[in-house]
Amino acid sequence: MYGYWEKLLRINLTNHTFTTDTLDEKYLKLLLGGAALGAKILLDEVKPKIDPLSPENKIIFALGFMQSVNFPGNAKWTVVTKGPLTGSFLDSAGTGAWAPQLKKAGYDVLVIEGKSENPVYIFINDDKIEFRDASSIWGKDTIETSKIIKEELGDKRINAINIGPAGENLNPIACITCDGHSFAGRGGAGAVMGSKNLKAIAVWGTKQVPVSNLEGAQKLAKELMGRLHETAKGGGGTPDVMVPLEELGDVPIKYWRGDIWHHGAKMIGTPRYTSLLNVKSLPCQNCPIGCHRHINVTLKDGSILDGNGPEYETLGMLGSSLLLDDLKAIASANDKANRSGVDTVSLGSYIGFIIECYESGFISEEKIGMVPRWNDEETLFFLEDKIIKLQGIGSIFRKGIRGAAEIIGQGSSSIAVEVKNLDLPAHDPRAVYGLAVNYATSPRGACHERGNPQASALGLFYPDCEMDCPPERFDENSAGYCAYIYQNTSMLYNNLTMCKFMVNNGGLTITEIGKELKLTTGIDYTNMELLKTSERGIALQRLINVRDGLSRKDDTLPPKMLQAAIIGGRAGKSPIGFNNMLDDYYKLRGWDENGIPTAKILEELDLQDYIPLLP
Amino acid sequence: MVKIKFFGILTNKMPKKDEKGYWVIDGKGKTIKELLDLSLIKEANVKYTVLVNNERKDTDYILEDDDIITVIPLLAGG
Repeated sequence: MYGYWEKLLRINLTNHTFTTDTLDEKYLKLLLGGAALGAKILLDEVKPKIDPLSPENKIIFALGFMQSVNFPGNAKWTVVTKGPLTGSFLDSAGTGAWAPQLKKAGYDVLVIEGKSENPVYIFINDDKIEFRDASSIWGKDTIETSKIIKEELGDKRINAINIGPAGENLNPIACITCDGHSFAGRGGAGAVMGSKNLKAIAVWGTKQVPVSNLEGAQKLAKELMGRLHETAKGGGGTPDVMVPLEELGDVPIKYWRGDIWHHGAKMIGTPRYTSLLNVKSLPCQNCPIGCHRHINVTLKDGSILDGNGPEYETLGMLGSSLLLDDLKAIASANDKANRSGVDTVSLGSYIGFIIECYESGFISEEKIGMVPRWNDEETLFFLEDKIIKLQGIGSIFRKGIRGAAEIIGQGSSSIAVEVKNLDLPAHDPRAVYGLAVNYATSPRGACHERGNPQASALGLFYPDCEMDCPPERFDENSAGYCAYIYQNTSMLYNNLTMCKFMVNNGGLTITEIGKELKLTTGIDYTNMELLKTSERGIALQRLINVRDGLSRKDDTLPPKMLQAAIIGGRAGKSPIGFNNMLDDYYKLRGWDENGIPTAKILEELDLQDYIPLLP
Repeated sequence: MVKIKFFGILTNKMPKKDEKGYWVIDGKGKTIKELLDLSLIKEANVKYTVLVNNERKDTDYILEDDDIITVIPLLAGG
């Protein structure tokens, strides 16, 4: 199949050996790649209910066709594994030239198995695979690690995905980064890498995968790059949404208990963010949008922070959720989290949880080591350090927030804001009911990326996919549909391994994605057929969840999400009709009333091979 | 006549709306830009994309009778 090598590289860390397998073209056509293809491989090769941090787990990196030429947004990679927080399906995505390089090295998929006896990093250099001693970089932060690897390999162009000290320490919110610049943040994939004594994977490739119409694809890629850049230029990155989302009531405030934060949002969102932090746009390779923010700012202690600035999610979970409007403090904490390799979303959730548990009398100052406060940088820095290292009060999060609530007891689980042990990201489901269903049903736990219903509240929708308008955000009757359709589109980007901002910020359409696909593979897909590949991926991911013991009883909302605001953009609103919304969603997916995919829907999706796996 | 609808946070930048939420105007032979300049869309300071009959078009596209124009804000966080 054009656009694919149809090749899987399998690396065995136990034996330090590797082999290659041929990918089934049938499933490349049905799933396209990325998170859907990764789900199929995980389902095929990893048994249910294993310990994610055991050698039995596998780590799968799956690409799509986008890396065949320089399509805009193609510097995107997806990692699929069993995650340590949910114990079930996890996919997480990051950006970086690593993805196109893996394709150029001659592979569509990389599978890591077993566990190395000693810390190691892998160098994939076209057909040559090296297992290199990582003892000199074990313990180094993510940015230092990348620098040392490039020096050791003698080429700055080589990209390496790596983990920081948090991943080495099996922190369940550890992430995987590409050169310390972008992060596969959610769900703890970094801990899985750490459990295998795998510090990094560097890659270099020189080959061109066969493409159906190479000249046509390159021409389209160039046109789209120019147009999307023209559309998006001058934007302020993800911090642009802080103020408008706060007005909608979407931003988390005081760990989901607050209603409004107008002044605070203006303090940490754009335009103040841009001027205070001396921002420059920091594009990924092949990206016309440039959403990442490079900042250069003098901190209170006189040191200079020159590097990645906080994204919206970090502003939400380390800023508004903690009532902290000190942008320099947030930037400093963000940098430490990046270097350590932890997810800032869950980090912020854990800090908010501790503060509220203290206020509720569940944990003492003595146990915490300080008096934690809202809008307090000392609280942020102290607790961040403890959580990253899993030391002191931080040690209670060894098994995520549910584990912490079990240790604290006293009803503290009612304070925790999570689904399936993954903390809610910085979008309030009381502001967009479709998000409530999305969080409850996302296969990796509460997630705003495996489904973007919050984008519908801003007005984003897909007229070329049989939509007349975005669903009304407080309409209980369309919430199930909202989750369904925005999951399908999000999943498509993850299957392609393409950055969603090509669509959300650049104005790329699903129709145009079909053109990219046709020129690359030679195959026509209608827009609805493209979304069908998403439905397949979601069905496979759900099947993994089901085999791990998850079902409707786990598709829940945190108790706080039923408490409506008194004032602000979501005043008086909460998804109290949640059960009916969930029923609607299940019907759209073709699942039964317990949220289990049926044989009928698997047949309709051409996934008959997986019917025997149904309970 | 052509029909235009702005969505999401751009909705209140439309000069007028009929009962179905459309701004109906004689746009035949005019560019998309000429019509948008009659609205308050610049005040929103938000990027947007324009589709005509569900197909993306540049703002120098010349409209025909019965065209339906959809204006979608491009503003998305993480």
